[in-house]
Amino acid sequence: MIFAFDLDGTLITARQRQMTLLQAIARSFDVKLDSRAIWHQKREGLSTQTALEDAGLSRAKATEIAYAWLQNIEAPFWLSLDTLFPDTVDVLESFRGSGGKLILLTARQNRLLLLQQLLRLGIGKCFDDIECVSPFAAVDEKAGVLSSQDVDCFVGDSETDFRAAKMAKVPFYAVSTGQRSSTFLAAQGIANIHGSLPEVRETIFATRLE
Amino acid sequence: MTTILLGAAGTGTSFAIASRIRAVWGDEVRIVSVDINPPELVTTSVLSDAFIQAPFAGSPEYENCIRSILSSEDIDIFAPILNDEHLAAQRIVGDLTFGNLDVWSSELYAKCTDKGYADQFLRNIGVPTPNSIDFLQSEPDRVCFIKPRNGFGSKGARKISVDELGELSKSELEGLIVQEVCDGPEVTVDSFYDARADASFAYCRERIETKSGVCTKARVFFDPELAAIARKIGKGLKQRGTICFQAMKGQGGWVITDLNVRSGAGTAITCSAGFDVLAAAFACRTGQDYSRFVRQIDENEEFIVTRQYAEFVMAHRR
Repeated sequence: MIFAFDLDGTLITARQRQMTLLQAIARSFDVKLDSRAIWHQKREGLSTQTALEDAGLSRAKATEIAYAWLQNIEAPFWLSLDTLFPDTVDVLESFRGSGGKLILLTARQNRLLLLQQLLRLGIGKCFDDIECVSPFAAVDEKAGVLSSQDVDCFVGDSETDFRAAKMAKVPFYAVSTGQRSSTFLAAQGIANIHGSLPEVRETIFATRLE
Repeated sequence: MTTILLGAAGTGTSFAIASRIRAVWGDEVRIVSVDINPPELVTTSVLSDAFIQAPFAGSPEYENCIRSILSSEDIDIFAPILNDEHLAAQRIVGDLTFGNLDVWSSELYAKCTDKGYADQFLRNIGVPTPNSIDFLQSEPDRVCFIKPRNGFGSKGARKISVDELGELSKSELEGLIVQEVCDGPEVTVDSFYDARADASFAYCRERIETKSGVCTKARVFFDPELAAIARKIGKGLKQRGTICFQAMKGQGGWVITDLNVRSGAGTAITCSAGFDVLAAAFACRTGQDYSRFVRQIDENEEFIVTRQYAEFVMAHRR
């Protein structure tokens, strides 16, 4: 079987990098932010810019900060703030142990920095294939990979991942550990929502590997 | 929520600690940092919830400043970095006003900021150090290695001939440690030790390239002899957290040339190789499981890590 995994928010943390960077940029503009509130809003589906506007910033200031955030979000220092979830390695190894082929399918601006990060995190070797698609066309490009690689199921943390899986007619398993809350994911019509990677593993092993 | 006060926020050491706390705990930990410079000149301030410009750590006003911050910011942990911060921390530790404060230091740590004391401490616990040189009894052309007793970041450490030593004043000589010159390579050991569990993890860093004292290319590896020394030092210091020390080859094998009772700026190199001794230290001190941050390196395993500068826009004015 072929299992595809999204990276950010699925296998590694999403909040620490995003919110620490946003706070750092806001400070450089002398803007005080409640990062918990912003993160909550983003988990409920808001973009960085909209979440900032919701927090009371003017559209111009929110645009400026959101733009700087997007420019820096994949800079090496900020990428170094990503860490594996506690069970990531264990879960990936058990999928490999089941005889499955593993594909990493992520939307990033810079493939080389992605590969460097995977080397640092020590999980690059867990995958048979690493697919990096554009974050600006994530649904279409992820769907393309899922179809062309004949993937059996896809694990991700966002509605983007869900839509890609739907487009490619691949079963989707969501985790609510990353970019979106379980409430938001459920509202998108996603049925398989899990609170952790081991829960996803349990469901997939029970349903797909029978 | 735990609030940590980081000393010497302008140092790479403090920045590395703040980075790893943010990476693992995000905004679950409140970071307050101090430095003599204003926040826009201190990169750690971008990772801090609060930043306070403080007097020189060696000044009489510094301790009062820290005491005031401990109260006003409701600090749970104080992580001193500079030697003078360790000395000030010791005077604060005994104050019942701060009874629940966890200080990443101890009386012994503070004493070990004196390199002469540290050298004696290491010898007392059976850790080899470079032989001291009585320059009055040595040939004039003999080369020695000197370092200030209260040095920091390799400042003032250098090779010098006995002849040149003789030209220094008595007070200058009293402030120096004079030792044999050891053979390279110099290896830094990032050592995490939990005295309560006798758990020891030691990571060796060999400098492949250094620019202006900053290690820019390094090899991270395991050495059983240095790991045994790290454990011995950890036990001796009753260490709970991460420190670093330097080792070189003396006449009879590895000798410890410098002991720092704190992590270093270069510890970030070890963290980037996947051995997050800084997160482990924070987890250890706050009673959390640190096992996921540290593992034993295999003897046949090594990592090559390079470093480049990163740019941070600290202020944007119109």
